[in-house]
Amino acid sequence: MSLPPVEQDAVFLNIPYDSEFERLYLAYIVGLNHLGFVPFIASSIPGGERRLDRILALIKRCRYSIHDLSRVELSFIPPATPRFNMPLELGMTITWAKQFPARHTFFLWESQQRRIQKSMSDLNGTDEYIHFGTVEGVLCELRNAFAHNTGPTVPSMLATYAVVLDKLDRILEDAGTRNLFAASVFRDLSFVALDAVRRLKRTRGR
Amino acid sequence: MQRPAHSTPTIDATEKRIRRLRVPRTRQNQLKSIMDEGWEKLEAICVPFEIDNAIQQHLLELGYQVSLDQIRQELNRPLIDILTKLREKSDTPLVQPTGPEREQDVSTAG
Repeated sequence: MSLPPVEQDAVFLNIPYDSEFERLYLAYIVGLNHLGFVPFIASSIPGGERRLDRILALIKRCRYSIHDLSRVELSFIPPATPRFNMPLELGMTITWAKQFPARHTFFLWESQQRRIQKSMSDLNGTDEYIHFGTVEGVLCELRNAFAHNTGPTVPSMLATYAVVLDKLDRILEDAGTRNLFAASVFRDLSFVALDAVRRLKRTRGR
Repeated sequence: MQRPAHSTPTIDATEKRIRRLRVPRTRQNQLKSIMDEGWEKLEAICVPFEIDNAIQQHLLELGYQVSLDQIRQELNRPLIDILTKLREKSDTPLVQPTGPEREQDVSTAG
């Protein structure tokens, strides 16, 4: 079996696509781009194949994945149902990473300490990253997971986040949607985050 | 667990990543222009944001007791709000739905 090539800087983001998560989603895009990584979400991948097949292909392509389980909870829309998409994609990733540990590393993220031990006790012993539901928490933990001492500072990432947030309406208006998770918006947000990295480099180089 | 080997991105690596995004040149220019405005605004307000302590001290010397929050409110610029609220837990939506498109676009989970 020939294995697909792995993109060494690619990070698959397994996150909820809901309005309460938009700020943290934006923080992940800004933070990962600042740290020199390329985030991917399932909706950013074009193609007509089944969604699950696209997700699996994406997991195989990405060297890393982040599984944010902070919003694994009961949906309020009746009938009340647990949200299983993120644990399902985590399960797929774990299988892949166990088979090919040199090709994939996954990270577990939560907003509360010890919640994973309660919801998925089989994962005990796996490192978890706690963002406490804040933008600053996401950026701080991204540095812990992906950077050593030389990475960009949290304040410099926060500055980019603040500017992107300030201009978000304009970006959405141009894209003709209010959905931050739409493929075109995801691409625009990745671009402005990378443009900020470029500006930062130029400022430092002066 | 194996940790990723981080390297600070060079200009070249950043340019390569920008090319990989395949954003059309015209859209790149539009986005750059939008962000230019944002960065200029940030630079303009960063100075008052950093010196608000000094303003408070000065007002105190003049006999006025004013909180930092009041000073920031007086400056009345949305970016300051963003900067001060960044450290708070925030799960409120960034955008409000404007029509049926929202329901079509957003699935319930990743």
